Amino acid sequence: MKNNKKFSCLTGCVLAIGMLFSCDKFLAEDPRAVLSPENFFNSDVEVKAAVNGVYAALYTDGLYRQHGINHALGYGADDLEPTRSGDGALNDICNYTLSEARGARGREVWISFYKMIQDANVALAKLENNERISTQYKSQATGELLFLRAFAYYNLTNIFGDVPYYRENLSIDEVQVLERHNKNLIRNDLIADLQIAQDALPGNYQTSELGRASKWAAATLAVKILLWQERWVEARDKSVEIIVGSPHRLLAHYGDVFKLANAYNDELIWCIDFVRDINPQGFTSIFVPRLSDEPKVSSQRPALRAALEARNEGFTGNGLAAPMLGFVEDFPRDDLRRPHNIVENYLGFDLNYPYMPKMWNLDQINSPRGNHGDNFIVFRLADVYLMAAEAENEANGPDQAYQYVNKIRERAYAPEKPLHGLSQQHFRQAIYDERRWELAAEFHRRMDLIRWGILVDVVKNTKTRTYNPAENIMPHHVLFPIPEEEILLNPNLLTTDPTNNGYR
Amino acid sequence: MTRRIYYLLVLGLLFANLALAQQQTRISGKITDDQGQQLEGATISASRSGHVTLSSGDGTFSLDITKGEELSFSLVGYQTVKMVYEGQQPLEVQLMPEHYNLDEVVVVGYGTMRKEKMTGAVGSVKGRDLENIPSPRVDQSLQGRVTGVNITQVDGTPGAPSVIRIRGGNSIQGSNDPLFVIDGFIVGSDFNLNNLNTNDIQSIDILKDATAIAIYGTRGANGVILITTKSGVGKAMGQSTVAFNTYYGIQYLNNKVEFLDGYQHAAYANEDAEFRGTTLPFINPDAVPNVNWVDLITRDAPIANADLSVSGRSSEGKISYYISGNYFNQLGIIESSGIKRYGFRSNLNIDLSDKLKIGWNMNLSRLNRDNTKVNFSALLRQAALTNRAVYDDEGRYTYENPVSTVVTRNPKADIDLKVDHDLVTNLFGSLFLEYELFDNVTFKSSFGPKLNYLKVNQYNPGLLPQNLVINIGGDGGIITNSSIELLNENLITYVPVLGEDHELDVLGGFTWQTYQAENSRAFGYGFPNDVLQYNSLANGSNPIRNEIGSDWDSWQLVSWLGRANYQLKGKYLFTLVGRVDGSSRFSGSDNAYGFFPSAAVAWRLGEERFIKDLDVFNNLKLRMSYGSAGSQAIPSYRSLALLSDVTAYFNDIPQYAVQNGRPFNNNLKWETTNQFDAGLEATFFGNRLGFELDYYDKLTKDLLLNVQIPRQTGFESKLQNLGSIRNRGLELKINSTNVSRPNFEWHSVLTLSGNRTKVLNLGGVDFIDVVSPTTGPGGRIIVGQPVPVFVGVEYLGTWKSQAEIDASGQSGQQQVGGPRFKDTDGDGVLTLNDFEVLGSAQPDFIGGIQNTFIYKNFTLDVFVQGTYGNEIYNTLTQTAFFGRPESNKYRETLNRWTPDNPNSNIPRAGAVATLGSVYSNSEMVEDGSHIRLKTVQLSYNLRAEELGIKRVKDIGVYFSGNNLLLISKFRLFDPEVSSYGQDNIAAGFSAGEYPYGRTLTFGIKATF
Repeated sequence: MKNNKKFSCLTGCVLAIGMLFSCDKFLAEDPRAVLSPENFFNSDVEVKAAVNGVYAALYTDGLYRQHGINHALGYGADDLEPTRSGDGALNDICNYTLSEARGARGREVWISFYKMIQDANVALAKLENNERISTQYKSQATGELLFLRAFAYYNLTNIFGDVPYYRENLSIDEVQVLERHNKNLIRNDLIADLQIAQDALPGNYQTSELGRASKWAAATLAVKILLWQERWVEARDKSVEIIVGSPHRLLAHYGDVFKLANAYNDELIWCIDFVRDINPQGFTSIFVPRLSDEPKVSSQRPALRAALEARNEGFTGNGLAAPMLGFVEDFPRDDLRRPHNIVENYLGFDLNYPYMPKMWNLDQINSPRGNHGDNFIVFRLADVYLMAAEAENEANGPDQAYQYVNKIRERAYAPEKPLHGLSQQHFRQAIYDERRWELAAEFHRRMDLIRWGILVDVVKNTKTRTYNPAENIMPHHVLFPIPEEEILLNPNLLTTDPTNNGYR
Repeated sequence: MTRRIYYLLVLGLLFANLALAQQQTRISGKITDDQGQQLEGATISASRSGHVTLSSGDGTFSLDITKGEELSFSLVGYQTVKMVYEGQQPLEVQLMPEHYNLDEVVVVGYGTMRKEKMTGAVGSVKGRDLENIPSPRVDQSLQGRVTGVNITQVDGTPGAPSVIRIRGGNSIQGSNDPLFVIDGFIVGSDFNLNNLNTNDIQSIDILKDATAIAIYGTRGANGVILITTKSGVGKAMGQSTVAFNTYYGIQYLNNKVEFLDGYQHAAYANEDAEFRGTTLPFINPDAVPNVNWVDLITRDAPIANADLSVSGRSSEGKISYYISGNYFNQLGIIESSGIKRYGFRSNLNIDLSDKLKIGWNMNLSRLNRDNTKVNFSALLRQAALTNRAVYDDEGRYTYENPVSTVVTRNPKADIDLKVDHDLVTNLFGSLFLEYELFDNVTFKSSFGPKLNYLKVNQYNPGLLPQNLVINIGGDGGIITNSSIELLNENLITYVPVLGEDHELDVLGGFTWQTYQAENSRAFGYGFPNDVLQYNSLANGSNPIRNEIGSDWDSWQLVSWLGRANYQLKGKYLFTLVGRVDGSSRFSGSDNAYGFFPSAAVAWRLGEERFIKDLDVFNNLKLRMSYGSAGSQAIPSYRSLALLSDVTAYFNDIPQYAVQNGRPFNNNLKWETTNQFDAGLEATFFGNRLGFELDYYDKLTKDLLLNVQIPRQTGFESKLQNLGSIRNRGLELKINSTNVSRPNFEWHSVLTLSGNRTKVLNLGGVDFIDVVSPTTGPGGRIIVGQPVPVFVGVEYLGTWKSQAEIDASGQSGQQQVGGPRFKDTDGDGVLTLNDFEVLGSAQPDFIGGIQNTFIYKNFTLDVFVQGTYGNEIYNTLTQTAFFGRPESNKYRETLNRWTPDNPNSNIPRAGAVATLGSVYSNSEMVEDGSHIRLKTVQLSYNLRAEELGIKRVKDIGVYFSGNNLLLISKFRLFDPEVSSYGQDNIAAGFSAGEYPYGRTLTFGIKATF
């Protein structure tokens, strides 16, 4: 038993040594390569990184890199359709077979915008009363964050209607149970936020910062929301403020607006920046034809290929996005914008399908397949002119509205064909058309039609090549369903509207 | 290194050949087994004089002998030892138990034990089963040999790891890989087994039940694989053995996938275009290339191995050593892939005094691995279209798929031009010190490092066709990772003498372990020429694309462990085990420490008089255990919130940006597995027939799951302890000696196991989608089902008539001859709601049967292994069976639906416009059951003595064939693959993996 005692004693010693060993200190994690949000936001540079992070969310496939958002904004209207039928998201929006389970990439949009909202909320909360940030930068950062958050909510309310809404850095437990909030209340908040942003933001940026939201981007977004809220006078005033006060101007030639070489031209108010090789986008490829579809006489394919190669060009896209049949038929032949929106013959070869050159880029050196650096144009001045015209017409009739629409038509016709002598209703109709030609496939169209309340009518009366959406479209299709997966995760999303926008 | 071996070799030869004076002396000695038990009745015989004696009850003997004479020590059930008497006095000889003896010693955590005294379930593989397997890693040789262990190779890449699941998977997000312990050193569950020379391995013991694994606490839950390497301990004193061993083999591509050839494919593609009304891709389908790409990039690949080892004991037995060097070289079946190893091992034990022993085990290796340059599954699917030419008219590599005209990698160019290899330098092992503090009380402390340095070099030349076509130049990069792991263990064992009826041993210990890793990566783009490659990344001329990065990882563990084994009257066995672990991964929470206790009892029925009287059993034992083990299941720092770095771009200039990466959770804790085990061991007929039966039931709770949260939070998921999984199973092992005659023996070993996994709870959701390799989820974890199950719609064949389509009510683009899927819910549209469970990767049974025939000096081993009742999900079927003309088609599509062949159930060409319409479906799920003739080996051993060859003890030659025959219905190469590699839960998917070889080898073994 002597040994027993010794054993216990020794075991005790070993264990005691073990205990003496400062375990808590030994076990403390040493996350040398992990950045904690707790210790961030201490300098202008750090805050700028957080602001940049909110911009970076715009690059997701579900938003702009692969055009996910344009299932909701671009297709399903009267300007674009695929050249061939398929299945999946594009089919569901173009053919209006939308359902809760088939939400046409709606969930990706939802995910990306809420990511922006949450990141912006955290950064805004960290900025508040933060003495370590310079006053000047704090103002700009606040402006950018408010703008980006407003842009997210603006799109969410357009696409889904009422949506969960929060503006503070709340805990996950609080946010994950939020119900849908009235879209009009949200939009009114956004208009106020955007005024703060416009006041805080600079009017322009130095070259290395182009792509950030300026005060004019904030103002343009405000105009768009004001139109939704039919606050016509404010909308007109704000758009005139942009036309008069901003450094932006219309380019002389319509086609120049969209050229890769002409990125950040004077007409553009806000773009999302893509860069070949390092931040490439894939959506341009959707507009680039694929050689196996072309030309009309297939035996001429080698010749077409050779002709393209001689120009360092290629039909290397998938050619899915093409002008809609009705769009091709309706587009005025004498409109100088037509060849930029519709091409039916290229380099002397008749094509099987029409394509939209302003959105494509055939340059195989600077914009190869799936590796395009062409920016996504969100807002440009022509849109503001047309919004000014629309707002003025709605507020006071056409008399003072012609100046804005005719400014756009100046470069669209030679000789000029200014509008004049229209009734308010005819002017309204003229704006509907003018926006269709001027802003075709720039992903304003579907929301315009919804805002005007004519989406269902227009879809039913526009000729299509591939699908038959006229047969399927229903009044509730003006909104996307709240994504099914989100309802499963947060059943409170059904509290205010058990029908889920009419989809159940 | 070589010089050192040379000296030892010379030394060894000297020992063996000292011819000394022939003077008879009376010597005495003692014979014990490897556990120090005295052996009675062993035969000791002298070669020249013919003197023979037997050892007495205390193992002692005495005998007259001449110096230089050879002594032989033998005992039934033990390996015979021969040694030359060099004047040692007294002679101490240890006899090791024989392979087929049930009285074997098993290695358990922190010690060894006789099998008969075990209360837990441990499986062992020893001896010849591990020798000379034509592979750089040992894991494959365990397949089918140990019950309850399911081993699946992921693919045929040289050095590819296997997925090892011991008694099923416990975890969903955490690792399910077992813990590897090599000579007591915990190397972790992600250890690169390529670093270990398989011929250095003496035995492998696999701990399965709760008491066996609980001693490893938080890392034991998935089972523990203990590898013991060879040593000089137990060898005859004063002798050294030099062993040389080499083999050479050729690997042949085993099975082939039958695709439409170039002409047939052109016809298919044209038929497709015609039906869809698009332009024909081939104007003249009879004048297209016809290339067998798989033949073009594969080869009959050699495999070679050479080992040289020196082992033995000093003349007084104070120093035991084992030193080995190894060269292994395997070329891959796919050109320009392969693995090379240079290995060195040194195991040393020194008795400094009666009480103090020191020693080390060290393993040093260098791996040079040529990674596979082609993406084999992408190649099968599309890149290697049978009517794609390798070169164009001007002799340049083609760069596009002839049907889609999309730029597509050229597999031949990849093989010829790409550079991609890993260089690994690895050192691990431990130094130990053992001191007998008092009688029966021993203190042992060990300390050891595991150092690993990895460098990956990659270069894609500008001459690669996809780079050349856009004139973008070459790109290349390097990745480095260097890590250091330190382990210190301090153990006290106490084995008191308590009298005849009681045996007790007690173990207590304290251990700590740390890990730190640093890695870095750098990639350069736009190399103007391909001269400098990755050696000078600054040559990348496109700085804006260049990438740099680095990372850091670390963790720490502290543990207290204890175990007591108590045996009453040699019949009743009790074990208590407990371990407290503290982990840095949970240090941010209140759950940093976890306690994992377990207990076991066993009853050696065979020792009871009433059983003995039956005179049937040689051994009969019942055992039961229950206890818990844990799993950390998560990587470092996961309880912390983090900002992830991203990049924003303004006017094409990248700017630093951060986003909220993940939320914090300071309530995280271990996953815990509670396991019940009941086992029965029995041997009959003089140990000629033995069986071991185990039943287990494991329940894992507090699963660490990344639980999806509403995305309105801005986050995707939050890591939480939710959910539980149950694994139950039966294991049976039968050993038998069918024939045992002087000149002929026949032994068989059969293993059979069945495991049933069932998800009990997923934290409130009904299922989690795991992977979606086709359209819609393909693998899903569903409550009440195994992990994972394959899901999809049921494929019903083709639509036979328009009337059938109309009657079905299915909308969308259904056409006669097109694929028909079951609209389960009858709503007219195929949606995820129509998905059903189509199968699972979980086999009903796995097993293996080994037969060994020994006739005189010939030995024939035949090993067959297989699985039954598992399914495999073949993602290639989506394109190879259903559609899209730019992808290869199975040969069977020759019999596709056409107006002239309206009864075919293979869809018509062109019916599938987009793959998006081909949901995951039952056609993709195939029977994965298979039987494999895994090994046949014929060896011939000749006693050199009998041949009169001096200085040589033994020579053996052998022929062996591996993977000779596969019986399986699977469409692709081999059903034993995993396209998601070792992924925890996405098992059973195949997309056309790196194929396996059938290997024929010839080898020579010699000892001097």
